[in-house]
Amino acid sequence: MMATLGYLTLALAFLLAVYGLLAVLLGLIQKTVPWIESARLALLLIFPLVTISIASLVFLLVELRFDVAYVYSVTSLEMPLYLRLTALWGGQSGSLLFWSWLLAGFSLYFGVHKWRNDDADLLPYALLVVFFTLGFFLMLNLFMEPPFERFWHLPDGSRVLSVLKPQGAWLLTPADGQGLNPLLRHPGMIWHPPALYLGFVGFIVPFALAIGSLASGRRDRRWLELSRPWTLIAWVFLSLGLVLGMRWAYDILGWGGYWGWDPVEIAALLPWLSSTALIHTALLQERRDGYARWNLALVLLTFALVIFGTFITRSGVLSSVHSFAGSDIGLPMLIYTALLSLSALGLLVYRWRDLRSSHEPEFTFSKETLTLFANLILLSILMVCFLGVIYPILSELITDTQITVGPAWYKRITGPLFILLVFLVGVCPLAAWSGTNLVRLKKRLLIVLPISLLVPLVAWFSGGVRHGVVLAALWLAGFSVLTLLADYAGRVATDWRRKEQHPAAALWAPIRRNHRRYGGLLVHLGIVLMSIGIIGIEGLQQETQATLAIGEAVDLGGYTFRFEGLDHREEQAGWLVTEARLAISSEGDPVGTLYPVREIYPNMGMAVTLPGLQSNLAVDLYAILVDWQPISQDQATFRIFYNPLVTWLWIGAGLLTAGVVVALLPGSSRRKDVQTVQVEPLAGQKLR
Amino acid sequence: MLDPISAPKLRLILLLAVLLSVVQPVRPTWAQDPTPSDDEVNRIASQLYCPICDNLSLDVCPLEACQQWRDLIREQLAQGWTEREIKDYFIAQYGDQVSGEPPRRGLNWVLYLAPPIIVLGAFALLVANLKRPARQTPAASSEPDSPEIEPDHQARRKVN
Repeated sequence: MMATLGYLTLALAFLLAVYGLLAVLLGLIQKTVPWIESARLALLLIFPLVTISIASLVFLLVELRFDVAYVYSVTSLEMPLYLRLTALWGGQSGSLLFWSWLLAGFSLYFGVHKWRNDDADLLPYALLVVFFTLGFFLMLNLFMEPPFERFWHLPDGSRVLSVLKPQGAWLLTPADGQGLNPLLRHPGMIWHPPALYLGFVGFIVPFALAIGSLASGRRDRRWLELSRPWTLIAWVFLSLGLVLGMRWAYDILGWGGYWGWDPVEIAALLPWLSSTALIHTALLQERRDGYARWNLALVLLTFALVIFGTFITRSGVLSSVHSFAGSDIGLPMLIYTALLSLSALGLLVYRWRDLRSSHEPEFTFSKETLTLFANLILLSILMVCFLGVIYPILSELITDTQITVGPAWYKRITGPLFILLVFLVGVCPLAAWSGTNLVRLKKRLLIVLPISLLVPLVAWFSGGVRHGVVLAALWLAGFSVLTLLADYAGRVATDWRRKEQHPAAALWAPIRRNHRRYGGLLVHLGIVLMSIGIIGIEGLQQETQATLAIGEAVDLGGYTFRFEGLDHREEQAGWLVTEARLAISSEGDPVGTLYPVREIYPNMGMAVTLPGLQSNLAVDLYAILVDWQPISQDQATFRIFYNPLVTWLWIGAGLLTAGVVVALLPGSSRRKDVQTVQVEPLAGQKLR
Repeated sequence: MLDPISAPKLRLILLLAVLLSVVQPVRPTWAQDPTPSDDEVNRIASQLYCPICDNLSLDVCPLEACQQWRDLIREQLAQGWTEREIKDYFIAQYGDQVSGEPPRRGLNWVLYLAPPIIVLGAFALLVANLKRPARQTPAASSEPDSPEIEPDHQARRKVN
């Protein structure tokens, strides 16, 4: 019943998407609004329909209805409720449905937004993009990856998979399911995929608005104004998705790191890089009459990269720990990706001449020039990473040689570029939008520079850091933190002096007055703090592997790790859990105990490593139980990591999120004309 | 019976021996260690990729096969193989894909030449498109605090 309901509502949603596409085309050909209005109303229906469909699947997952093939493949009797819910995105077809549901949700914007008369020309083309994309993903779900197929016994004794009941067949219900991959049985599964998907899918709004602007022949920045909150929302979710993925990898994959330069990780980083560039040059277009081409190119690139990332993850074209199992959706996804990217590119090229601007940026010490250099670095990293992802495919196609492009290659090339970015983040607050005040700059540098030098000095004397590049990187990060704080402190001090405000009121006043600017400052502070965590783990990580008998110890990073024993227990469904105890001491004083765990899933032939972890702001002590002697149980092998500063990576991510929330607050720094104006109803209007 | 070595000849042999000991490639001391430590094995294993799994380096791969490959690295180190020799052995046995860094030959040069060309080319393109200021910008202007947005000169203009 629920499977049929889910399938039928999905089919109805697909039909509405096809209808919407045709209605928009008719509306555009006949240049009349009723068809467009009809398409808009169809769009309003798609989201509730897909919601019913996804709710049906959730019900089937929670109820463990193993007669449904998808439920059978991703759940099992012993899985707790939260894992049954997360199993929705644990397999190909469920996650595709989740993707389509989010897409339908974001697309609602085009249905419910009160379009001003002079914005109405954006709508039909934006709807065209939305219906095309929705129709494509719903089609995949309906015909190629249906999540509602059930097992059936036919009268002739054979078994088939079908959504609807075949003639004379009866349902086959397995006693238990295969269960979710053990690596996915982690709280990270709750937040990481949804955040990443929200980030990916959210870019549909700016992309469709940009296409609307290009196709309707506009050359203003209205599409940017309309898409700004959506770009920021998508960007912050993409950032969170990436960081939550890092944390998950750190907690479960058991190699002591957070980022493995896996092709799928990089495929998610690519749209983050291009959208970060877009957010910055969108600001430039707000201030200068220029950058229209650049911003349009960036938003088209971002969405094309989103689709490319989805293709890479779901097609099985590349080997990755993130990939879904083999699927036939590779070819249609490739066709869709190519069609979408080439159409968008063709449109941009067609309008290229119309979008020219008389604005010529000057080569001066200004925020504008620095933003352009930051853009250049972001896009350089993007191109290098893209090359690293596609090169193995090219190599296999051209020379028939399989190649691995590993972390060492990426780190060597992108490392210096990331450090330059951190430096630019610090330098930018020192510059004005045009004509920097040199006297004030000198004054601020005289304060910030000497204090920033304390950072490498503290690292040298207190942290024992001797690595030149790491010391320089830490100095740049410290310099950037200080310039950002000085920027804010300077404004607070001025307010305090001028208006004689209470100090607490003066602290809040600049943010209240200009939340976009100080929200942005908080985001940048978050990025620099994240970079401190990355510098720590990349530049200062120490590790050792040792086989210890009970009572034996190994030293690392000034700490002593003593093996105290192993505990074995058998948990539900026959999982074998082995937990070790490693007592930590520093100069003889006990500091804590690490409990690294190894879970073995005999029915799946898999093992999962959960590190023992103790964190503080200075260092993470991290141990993995590699192996042990099963008979005597008095000897075990550990891999122990000393990961300095890594906590700042997670703190920085928190600040980044808070910064975007502040920047999105409604308030005084928003333009009056950006806010929605009373709108005439669309119906009955003639398109221009 | 062999002739006794003359003093000048002995000096020459000793000199040559000293020279050879300096000139010959120095092998790390651990290479001679009969039981190389896990850290020495992992240092090399982390640069090699499991040929049968998805993008996992050999030092963290949980498969039994990878454990055997790590044991092989340990044996090779104990026999005095250098890091380069071990890596070359694995590449010869399992192909270029086991190396985390593609070997610098043939089409792979794209991976090493393209990044500097991309970065320098983008930098040159940007600098070439920035207008040189006619004269020094006056130092008097102050940094604006609110995002003053200039009027949208092209507002709502249709192209067609």
